[in-house]
Amino acid sequence: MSAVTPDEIQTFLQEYVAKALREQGRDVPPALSDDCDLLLSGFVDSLGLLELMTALQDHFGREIDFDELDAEQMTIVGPLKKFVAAQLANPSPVTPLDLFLWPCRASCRSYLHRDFLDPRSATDDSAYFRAHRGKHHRCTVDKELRGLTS
Amino acid sequence: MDQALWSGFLRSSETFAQRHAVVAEKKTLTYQELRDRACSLAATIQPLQEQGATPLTAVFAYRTPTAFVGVLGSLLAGNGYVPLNRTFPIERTQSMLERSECSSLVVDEASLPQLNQLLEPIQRRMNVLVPDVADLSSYQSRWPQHTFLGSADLKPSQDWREPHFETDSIAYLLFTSGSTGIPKGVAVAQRNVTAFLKYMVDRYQITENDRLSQMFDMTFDLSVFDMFVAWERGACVCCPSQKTLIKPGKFIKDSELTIWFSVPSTAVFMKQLGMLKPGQYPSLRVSLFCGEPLPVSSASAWLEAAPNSIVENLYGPTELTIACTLYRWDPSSSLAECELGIVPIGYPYPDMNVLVVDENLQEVAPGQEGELLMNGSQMSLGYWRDQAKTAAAFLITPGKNEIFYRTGDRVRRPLGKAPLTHLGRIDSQVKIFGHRVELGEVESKVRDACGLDGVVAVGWPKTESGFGGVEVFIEGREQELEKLRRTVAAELPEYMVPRRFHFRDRLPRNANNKYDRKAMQTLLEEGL
Repeated sequence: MSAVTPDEIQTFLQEYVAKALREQGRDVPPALSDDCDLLLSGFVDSLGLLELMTALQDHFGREIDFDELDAEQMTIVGPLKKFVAAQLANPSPVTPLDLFLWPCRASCRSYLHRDFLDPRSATDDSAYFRAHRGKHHRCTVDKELRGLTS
Repeated sequence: MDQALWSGFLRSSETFAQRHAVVAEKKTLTYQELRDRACSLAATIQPLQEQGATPLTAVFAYRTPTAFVGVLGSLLAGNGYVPLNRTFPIERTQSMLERSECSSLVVDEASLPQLNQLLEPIQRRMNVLVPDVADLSSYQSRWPQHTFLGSADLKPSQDWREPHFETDSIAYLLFTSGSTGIPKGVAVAQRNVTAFLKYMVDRYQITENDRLSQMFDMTFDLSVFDMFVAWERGACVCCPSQKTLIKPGKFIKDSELTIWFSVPSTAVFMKQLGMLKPGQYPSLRVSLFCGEPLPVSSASAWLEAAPNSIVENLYGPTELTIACTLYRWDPSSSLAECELGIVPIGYPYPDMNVLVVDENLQEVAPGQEGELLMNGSQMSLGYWRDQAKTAAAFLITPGKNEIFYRTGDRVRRPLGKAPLTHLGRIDSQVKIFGHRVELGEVESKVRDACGLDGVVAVGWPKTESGFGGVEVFIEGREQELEKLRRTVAAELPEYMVPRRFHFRDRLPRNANNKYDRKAMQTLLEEGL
């Protein structure tokens, strides 16, 4: 899975704000500049911002830990974009599914040389992991695992 | 005997002079400081108020200490307050100020940039008080007909004299938001609010050690709970800034809140953003939700996140003063009492009466659905300067000898000791090919099927006898339509199955952040 670029996030924000403004019958700005404060400019209200965060998660299919971003920065387009891009590049937090799949992944040959004990330590692992989620049981890794354990 | 709304605050300011009354903009005001500033403002307003002037003061301030000083100062001057909000479109604020007929206006520094625009349509002479700013000469020269008073012009607090109080003295005038037409001003009397407060402070056993959230803007009447429940017993009201509002979890922890009050939407988003992890908010002892239907899933997630708290769902239109029924969420027994995946609105406050009627205003039998009518000590004075609308909504029903307020909400008349359940708005019931369809029921099935809480059903297209079908708007990412349709179709008769599903990142909301069904209807009319 390739990394999400700030441009993709910009497009998403742009469309999101445009839609919200259109629905309220308000004018849509031509572009959101990096220093635009979505909250103070009145484009979205505080509840709308919580919705936007939820929408970002849904759109990019990942939980984003917004707690790490300061509230002052969170509403400004530039810092928000940078933060979301960085979060999406980071490995997912460990979920029960991850823990369940962990032995399979550990046995995969291409990952044998990695430090797999801490799933959050290797960025590439996470991308690999996202791409293989759900398919894991059916893939060759699973066969390898059976081979290794039997 | 009825008491003035300010009397609780004055009592607390003597008993708890050095305790915190308000935290706003990272500044803290003790009861003594808040009293001094509010009395000083009131003492300045009092001699300026002309005989026979409308007893109202507008407060154009947003989440600042001055906003709280303005509210109390207006009341202590003998006036009701009219909250104005700089985050609203200026035309809306202008119309509120204009229609309220207030002759005094309190402005905080952050709202000052909008002042010139706000004053433009105002014909009458105004006294404009800006307690945060010393030099107002530029405003004075631009608006010679008005009087501007800055920090240096304020009278000392000792000059304040307790004003005359009448039973029907107005506490506040609030303009209810509507998706169409001009907002209606609801005039709420001080006795309405004191009746509400009396029950609330006793029920939740508020003490000086409590710290209450203020998630609501002052233009939303639920904010009255936060301020006056706190001040009644010497507690502290913690007002987050506009930016802090987007981090509600951090706000609860940093402010060490004991009492939480918000719209259910906040809980819904917090859940989706992973902010409702079990045991996360141990400081909370009371969590209240009001303003829109509370989904069962949000109530139970909140209770897990705030394990030391009770969770209650409150219900009440502005016309019945803040809230007038409530329901305690109990994970072991509540599920059986919920309808449509929504927590019941429960039982009326002790001083309030319930009547459930059909379209001819005749009381329905227990267990039947109908429109909720209520009256009692919290029933407000009616609509400001609008006798026709007041008479239409506050009426005497056949066979009764008293006035009831028509809420426009559909409920089930309880059987035995069952709680009241909210089934939607009267206007959310539509006829489809002659069948009576409650849109809330369609919404509930779609909510279950897609796992998203933001679901609004709309009757569409219009026919002579009602509607030809239902369409649904869903807040969230697009899902596999066929699967969704199949799941919903398995649960509903054919005429109720949505013909189309419209996914949106954000559904239209009105000024109070409630879903705006009419706006969605308009989207359909305009071909989306």
